[in-house]
Amino acid sequence: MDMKISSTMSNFFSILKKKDVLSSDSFITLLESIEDSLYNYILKSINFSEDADDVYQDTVLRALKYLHTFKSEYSFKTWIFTIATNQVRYYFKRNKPNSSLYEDSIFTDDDWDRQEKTRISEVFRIAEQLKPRQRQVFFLFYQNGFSIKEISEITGLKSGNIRFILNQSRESIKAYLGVNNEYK
Amino acid sequence: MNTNKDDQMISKLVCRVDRSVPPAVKRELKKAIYKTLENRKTRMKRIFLSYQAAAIAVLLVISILTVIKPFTRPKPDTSRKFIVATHRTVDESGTPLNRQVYEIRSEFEIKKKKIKIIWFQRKTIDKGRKS
Repeated sequence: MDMKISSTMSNFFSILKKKDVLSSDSFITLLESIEDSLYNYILKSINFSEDADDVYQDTVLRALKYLHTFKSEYSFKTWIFTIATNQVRYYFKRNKPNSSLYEDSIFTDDDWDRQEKTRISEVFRIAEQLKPRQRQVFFLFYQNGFSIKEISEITGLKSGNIRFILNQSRESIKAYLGVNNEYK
Repeated sequence: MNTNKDDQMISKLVCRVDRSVPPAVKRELKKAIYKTLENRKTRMKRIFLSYQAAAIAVLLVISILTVIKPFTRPKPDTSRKFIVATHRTVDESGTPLNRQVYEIRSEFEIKKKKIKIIWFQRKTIDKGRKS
């Protein structure tokens, strides 16, 4: 699915190079290809807070404001996720992180298998205990499938730090879920 | 890309609670995007037109000054007389002699400054040569 998105985006950029980059329709089309992925990253990074909608809107409007600085030879997805990451950090500077994450926030309906619900809750509980920056790394990797190199570009963290964060979270989840394989 | 089974399992659990962007948020955002980009285009047009107008104004001023300037110079208050004098026109028998230019006299007067310049040539007068 990621490859489909990236080939679609490269087509968009070959068109945008010739056409007006500031065209509303072009920007909206680009956004629609990654909006759910972006929204979920923000939502989960701030522990399913009600402010997710505002942070998402701020991210998109900021991307729109600085669209003229974007170079089409780079990845649009990486670029906009960098803006989202900074907006989440800014959000945490202005607001204290949620001290507890409730199941009601994660699950919008009751139609869940109890065991699966417990497993999912535990994964998010472990993620919640991470520091905000570490949590962002966690969701960039597991939610959006970015590589270590891409996460390094987005967050500004070194690859070694990223691997350490991911290893720690993985070990915690494995310990709870009882899975024994090692990540290398 | 997650190659490890554990990573895939965790990824699957994380993505199980994915949500779509709320329609109200999408609508508001679209409105804001169109408004921002339209405002930006209008602003750019205005800036472009103001530069054009400024350039045209500058060109107008330069051309006006270039054309008008010669007409604003004060006319010199001079009067010039050109006198051609000849010595004789007929000989003793009354036969007309060839008219000869004997003297060319030019008088310049600048009344304001009370200056009078008289310039004359005599004797050998050749139009092409100064004597």
